[in-house]
Amino acid sequence: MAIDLQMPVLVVDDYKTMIRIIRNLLKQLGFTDIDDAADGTEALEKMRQRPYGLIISDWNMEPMTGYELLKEVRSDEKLLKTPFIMVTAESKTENVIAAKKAGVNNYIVKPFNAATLSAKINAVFGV
Amino acid sequence: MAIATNAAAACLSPDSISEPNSSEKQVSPHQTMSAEAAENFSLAEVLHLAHSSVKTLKDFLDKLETSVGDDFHQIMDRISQTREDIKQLNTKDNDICPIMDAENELKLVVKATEDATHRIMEAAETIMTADANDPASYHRTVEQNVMDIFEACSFQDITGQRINRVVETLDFVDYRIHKIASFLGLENSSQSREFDEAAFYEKLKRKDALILHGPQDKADAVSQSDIDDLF
Repeated sequence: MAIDLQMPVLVVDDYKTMIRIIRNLLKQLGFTDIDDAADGTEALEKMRQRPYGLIISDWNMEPMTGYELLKEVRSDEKLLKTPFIMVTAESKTENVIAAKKAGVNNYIVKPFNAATLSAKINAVFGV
Repeated sequence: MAIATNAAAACLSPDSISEPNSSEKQVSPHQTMSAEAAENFSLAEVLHLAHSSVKTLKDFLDKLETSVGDDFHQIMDRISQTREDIKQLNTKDNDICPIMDAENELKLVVKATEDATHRIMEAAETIMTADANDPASYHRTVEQNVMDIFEACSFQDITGQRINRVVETLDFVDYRIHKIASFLGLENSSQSREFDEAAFYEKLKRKDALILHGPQDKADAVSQSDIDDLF
């Protein structure tokens, strides 16, 4: 099964540089519809306006963190099935376990490379 | 002795002097009294004077004791408070107030910046020296190295988080030092900088609740392969 490269992807990060980096990496991987949000609150608003095929979110953001966003998404009937990848510098085991318990599909530690991002996206979609 | 005698006399009112009883009349050989004083005052007067002096002295010492005691209590309180403030600067209590190792954070920032710069320069040099005579190979080389430059730029996110932690630490230390200085009277309280201590502790509690540790040292961080195993 191939990944639908036309599906809308939402990148959530409070660092504009990181959004730009992930956008460029996704473009390199062939994704064409990439949107972004600066924190969990903005992401949630966008997700309620439009369905996304994949969320790639940072953890450490204000006012709503990626972890809070994940829990909101998983508790919302309309959004709960949206694939969610956490891309973060939070690299303690307790963070990974907490994210997994909250329903994250995969977890990438910063700094990362295009190959890792590609591999995790493939894993989420069972490719 | 004349001065003492006059002073003693001034303390006595004629009404207050009563006849001494027989036992009071017995003067010990050790009791010292000048011949002149002995001539001017009766034994009863001397004893009354002594009694009065002792009482006055006792009242004075009582007041002195209370006053000195209060001063010592205030000093003790100040020492205790200052010790607490200094303790806060050194605390490693991660549950309430993590004081980060700012020096280590800055070293990691320097290292990350250096690594990223090298990586970007290497990628740029590879593109510069690539053979353009083979367009397909050249295109591949450029694409790979541009991707490498993108990846290397992600250092800014991590160093940004580390620097923010250092700034937070410095803000806290600065506030504490100003508080101690103000408390010890070394600084005018009007010169004290504004710092919302309640908000600071609230932020720490929030970080704790939302598991916000920030970037870790490699030794403390879980690797990507270990994370992959968990999934």
